[in-house]
Amino acid sequence: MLALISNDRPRSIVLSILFVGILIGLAGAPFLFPGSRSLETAARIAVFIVLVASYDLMLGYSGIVSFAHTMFFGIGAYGVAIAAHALPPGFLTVTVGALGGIALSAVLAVVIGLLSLRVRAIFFAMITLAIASAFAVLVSQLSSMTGGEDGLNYAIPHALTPAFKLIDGRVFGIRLDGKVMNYYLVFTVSLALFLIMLRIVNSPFGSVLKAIRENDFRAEAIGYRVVIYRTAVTSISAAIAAAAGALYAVWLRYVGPDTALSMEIMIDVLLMVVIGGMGTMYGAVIGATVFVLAQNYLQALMGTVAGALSGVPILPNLFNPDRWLLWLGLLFVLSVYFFPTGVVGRLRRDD
Amino acid sequence: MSDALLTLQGVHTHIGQYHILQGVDLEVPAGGVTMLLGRNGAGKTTTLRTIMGLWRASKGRITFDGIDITGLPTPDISRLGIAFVPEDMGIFAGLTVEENMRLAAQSGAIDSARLDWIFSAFPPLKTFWKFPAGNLSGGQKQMLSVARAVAEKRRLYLIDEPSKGLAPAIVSSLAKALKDLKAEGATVLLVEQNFSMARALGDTVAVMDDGHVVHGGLMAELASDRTLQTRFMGLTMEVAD
Amino acid sequence: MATALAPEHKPKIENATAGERLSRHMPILIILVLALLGLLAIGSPVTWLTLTVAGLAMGMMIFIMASGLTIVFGLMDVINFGHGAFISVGAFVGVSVLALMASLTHSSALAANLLAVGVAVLAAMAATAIMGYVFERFIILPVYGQHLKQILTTMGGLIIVEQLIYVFWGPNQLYAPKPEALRGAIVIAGAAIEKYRLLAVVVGLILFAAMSYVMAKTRVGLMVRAGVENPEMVEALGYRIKRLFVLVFMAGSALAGLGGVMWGLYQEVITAEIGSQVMIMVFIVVIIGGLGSVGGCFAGALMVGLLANYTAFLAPKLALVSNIALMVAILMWRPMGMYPVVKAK
Repeated sequence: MLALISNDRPRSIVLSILFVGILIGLAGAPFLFPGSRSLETAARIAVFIVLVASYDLMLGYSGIVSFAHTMFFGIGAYGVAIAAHALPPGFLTVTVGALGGIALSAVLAVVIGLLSLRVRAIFFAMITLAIASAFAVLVSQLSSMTGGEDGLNYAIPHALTPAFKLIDGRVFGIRLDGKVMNYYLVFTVSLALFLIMLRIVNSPFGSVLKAIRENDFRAEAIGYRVVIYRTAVTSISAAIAAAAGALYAVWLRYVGPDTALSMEIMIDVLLMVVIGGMGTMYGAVIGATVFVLAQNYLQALMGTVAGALSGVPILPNLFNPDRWLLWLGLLFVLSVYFFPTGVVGRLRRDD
Repeated sequence: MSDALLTLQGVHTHIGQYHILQGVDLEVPAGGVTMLLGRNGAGKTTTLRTIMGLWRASKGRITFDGIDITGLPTPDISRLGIAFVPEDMGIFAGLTVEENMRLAAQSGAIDSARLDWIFSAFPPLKTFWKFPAGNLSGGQKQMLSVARAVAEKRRLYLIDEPSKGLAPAIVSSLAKALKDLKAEGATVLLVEQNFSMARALGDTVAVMDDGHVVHGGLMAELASDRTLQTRFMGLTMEVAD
Repeated sequence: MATALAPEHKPKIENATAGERLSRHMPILIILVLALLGLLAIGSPVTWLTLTVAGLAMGMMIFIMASGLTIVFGLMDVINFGHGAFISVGAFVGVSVLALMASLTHSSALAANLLAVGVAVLAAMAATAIMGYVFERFIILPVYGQHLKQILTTMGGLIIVEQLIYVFWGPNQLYAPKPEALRGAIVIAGAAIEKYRLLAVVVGLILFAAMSYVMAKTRVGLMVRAGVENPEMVEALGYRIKRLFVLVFMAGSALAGLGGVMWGLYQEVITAEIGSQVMIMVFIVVIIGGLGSVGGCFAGALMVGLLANYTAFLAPKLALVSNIALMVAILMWRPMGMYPVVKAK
């Protein structure tokens, strides 16, 4: 069992309980939390855990700040979408699209990574921001291929649609239809990717990354070609992000700039990784879960508060559910100050 | 022995996890040159920087003319009348020689008599007055660094290895300028590896090793005692004449 | 003993080689080459003139917005990813104040219009300067020296401010109509030149001249230029540079506010994201110019402005991508930007 998580133990009782709880919750989501909305939330959590963990690989373990991460997520998603839009529906189509997106992301990441050879870390962050924005603009401009602002709707393999029935009748009161199949596809692939990432960070490669993060001069002096390692981790991270995007595209059956490419998603990822705890992998799990749950259910709460305050000037605007980001932003800044090690760091320290 | 202008008592300095100064006790008497000697890594530069407030002392006290300056911000320490010539010269390469000097004059302008003295001590500065300081040679930059420190009369000059890597001719210019400073009654704490210069200029001496001051006293004593020299510095100060 | 004060030591400052001199003036050459290529590609000199003025105007506005960012980074080693927030706030405050002066803006007298714009600009700059102070104290100071955290907190600050704009001004976009006398175009040498763009060019030039003057001729400028290279030494010379930092940050924020008003009127419609949208160009300009260099920023901004307008005419879909390509090309030639400030460690 320990080998499965690559000996990266949670190192905190509370964290272990949370982790197991989340695992069980996600594994049994269709049965434990019936209803399409909860399944939607669960799938989103699974995908974001992978996306955030892949970002942690770069940010937390390697100390690289990049704002292009959601671009790779988008490439993976659009890869599937464009393939499914152009080719007849089926698993082959989806695989082709996914692999195409993943390959493009990996290659693009290498190109961007080689830029890091010549520029400082700050420049790199700004450059990735510029490239990601340019990409988003490009996507909405090439609307014939990408559907522009409206995005793309497409068909996914029949086995993953609600019309499909694995067996007649119900199991534990739930129909095993294509949607549930789709969910388990998302879940298993996400779990696999997460375990792979745990393996990576606990391997010799991961140790070198951490050494580079701490002191890149020294690492270079010892003999590690820092650029190679940084480029490699950027590429792996991008590929996994693209895989997460491909998964999400299969799940949603729709891809658009808002769902896959927006800066908002990038900010969300940043928030999840910081609140959860950078450089821990488990932080991604906690961060993504807390965030997605809050995003779904807290906004409703905000709406109620806003309603209660109606008539008062300005104040209701503060609690308008659309102002979700305001509180997010505040929480974000406060976490950077007071919880630099995130929830995971806090829990590990207290134990 | 004249009153100490500058006193360090039990000063410790940590840089990150490195404990560089491990209890430095030092007295710099007013009026005269105190040489700070020691091997590389003994903590000489760290001592100067700690006095100047660029690095914070983690323990101990630094007193300047009766005022406790431990922990004061660097600009305040400078304004009390302490000038600093750092090891890396601290020249503003993008500014002209003139602008470097202008910045050094806290009162706004340099007294013309003083400027004449500086020009006579360091002629290249006059030649390249309007040139960017980054274009000067190493020796000229060092001249500028010292010139900046002496642009206005100060109570205490902290000078870190001014002659390092410089041609003998330039070292002479520096030595002469320091002699002039001494003549006007200034107090100088000088870190120097050039022994002939140290012997020629120093009145008192403090030898450092491993973050402590291991010997303090008159330069005349140290210079004449070979055993003492070998004991504290591992070599003698004799220079073949 | 050596007594003569090194008179034989006749130091020489090498004259710059031809290659070095070419290299130093390269940015101006690039701009001229760009303009020339534009003329060749566009063909019609009249259209070219219109586009060039448009490019220069855009460049000037971006310069105004970018100058604060580059000086702050050069001097304080602070990355403010929230710079766009100041642009947005400047735009909103400026446009709102302008809307209050209908009598002046509806008049067709240029003087009245300029007065109104002037007041709006002052209001915007005051608001963003104060905001800059608060930002510096609460968002930047606590994480001083830690670049990673700075990036995160300033991004967070950006989000918070953008959302607050929604809170105070509502969710809808705001119309930013230009004052009467600044609308429309005048015809110069057969080309239609928008009046507002001419104003932008003039304002930009005045600002660049003013900034250059302050940097070169004033004591504050001296301290900033020295502080960009070696803040420690400036302190050792007796100057409280930390106080200067706050003032410079506020000035940079005020400049962003000014840029925001001008950009807002240029766009005619503003949303809370207007700042972050133009920040892409601002970042490109700052990177191209070299962090800390006002001159580099100016040159970079003109390049970006010209290129954006030429490609908008020739191949509209490639406008932003072309600027990224320019940035990459310049980084290949000069990895630290055109006029990087070499920092002492």
